[in-house]
Amino acid sequence: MRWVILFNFTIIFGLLLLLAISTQWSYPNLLPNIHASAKGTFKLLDRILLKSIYQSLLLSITLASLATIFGFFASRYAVRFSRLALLPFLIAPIILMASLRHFFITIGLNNTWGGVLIGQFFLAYPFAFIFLHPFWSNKWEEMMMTSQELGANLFHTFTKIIGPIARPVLTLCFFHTFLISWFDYGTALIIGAGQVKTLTVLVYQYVQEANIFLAARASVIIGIPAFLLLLINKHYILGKIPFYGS
Amino acid sequence: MKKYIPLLVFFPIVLPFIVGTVYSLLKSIGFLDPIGSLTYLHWKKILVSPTTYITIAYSIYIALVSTVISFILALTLLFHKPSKANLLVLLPLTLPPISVGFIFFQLLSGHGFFARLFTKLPIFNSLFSADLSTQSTHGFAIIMALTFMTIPVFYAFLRKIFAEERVGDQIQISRELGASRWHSIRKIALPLLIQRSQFLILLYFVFALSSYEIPLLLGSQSPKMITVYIIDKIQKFDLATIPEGFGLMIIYSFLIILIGRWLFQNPK
Repeated sequence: MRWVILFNFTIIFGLLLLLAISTQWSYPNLLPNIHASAKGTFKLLDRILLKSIYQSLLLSITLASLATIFGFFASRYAVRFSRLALLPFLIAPIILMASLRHFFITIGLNNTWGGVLIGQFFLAYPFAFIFLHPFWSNKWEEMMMTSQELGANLFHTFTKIIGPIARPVLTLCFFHTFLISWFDYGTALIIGAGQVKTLTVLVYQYVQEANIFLAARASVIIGIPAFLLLLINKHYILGKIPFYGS
Repeated sequence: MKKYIPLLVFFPIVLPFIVGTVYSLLKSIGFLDPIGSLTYLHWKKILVSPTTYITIAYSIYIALVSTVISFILALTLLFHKPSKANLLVLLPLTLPPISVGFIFFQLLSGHGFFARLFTKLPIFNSLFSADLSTQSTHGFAIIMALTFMTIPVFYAFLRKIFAEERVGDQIQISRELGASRWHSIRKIALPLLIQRSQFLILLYFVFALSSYEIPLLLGSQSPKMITVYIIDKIQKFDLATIPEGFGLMIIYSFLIILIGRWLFQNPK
């Protein structure tokens, strides 16, 4: 059973990678053709894709920084109904954004990167809030109090004491919020309204244009940061587990 | 002033949801409608139409089946000895839903990988018989894609619980006391693992219910998943169906909150 699952996984990723480097997949052939097409030119990335990579990266990094910073300071305050912060996850982002689109249009943020940034902030901020909430235990609160009693101002307390302690958690939160934005499709589609071409929007556009090779390439590119994160976090996610019989 | 900080902090979390819900409610009763006036007709139309119920039932069916299957598969993976292939199990986490939908379409559609593979075999000789599942009304492709995405999450989580609760040791002891391997798994490991992962199962059930990209790419024209159905109604250039879409949105949110109520209450 396990091998069936793993074999399927291999087929899926193998096909994706193959599609990403090939140019032709005519019908009866089992596998796509890697050799250069009839035109004789082989361009791995086109201009639109490159521009989209650059812009998506910028958007995701900005969003991740904002959400992490705001979430960090906000999560200090225990709110009674903090479980409600799960709400933006449960509702499909695309539905939430469709109900808010009117307001984005009214403010004039429709079709802009700023609008998408704000829309994604509504998704990433609650995540950062939930994620960073357990960090604030009494111990750190007391440490902050101590440092202030000893004469440090709030800025120094945060940069010299709380900052270094929280750095691993903050880094992890940054990566996760980065991925929320990086993987997001609903917000970019509804608020971006075709003008904001993030990589996910581009994948769908390529699929509609029946340009499966570029879609595969864009998919692989989307996968790269997540894959790196997975490699770094592998031990955190899987851990070393004492299994019976091994 | 300090009393209000928690409220201020919580503001951006709840505000979009409340504003969105109120707006959809107003929209669904014809308020703010450019071509009509205040009316209950849209709601009547939604509640009378059988498509609404079919859509909801279909979404719940897909979410339920995919969550259950992926949980079972994750358990199967867990109860085998771990090997070097662990990273492969986690790989689906690196793809966004839209890419998963895309690659499953390339695998399962009438001109996809499996169709090509089957036409090579002598038993399947027509293109039609090889068309596995995209566009089928059973939602087979959607379930497969959702399962593919959920397995690694369940797997990683179950592994963690497995270590925390020292399930391996417990199984060892029960086996030394004479229980068979299957018996010790069924009586000791499973109840423990299921009980600890209830929260995650429910969470992923709701996620599956809310998925949009995968049913968009792999789903049939009718029945549709509820999210796709709503967005179709709203995005159409027919002003008359827009209030219906917003009404359905209210029903959808209500459904989510109804299911998610347990998530909000449960402290763990």
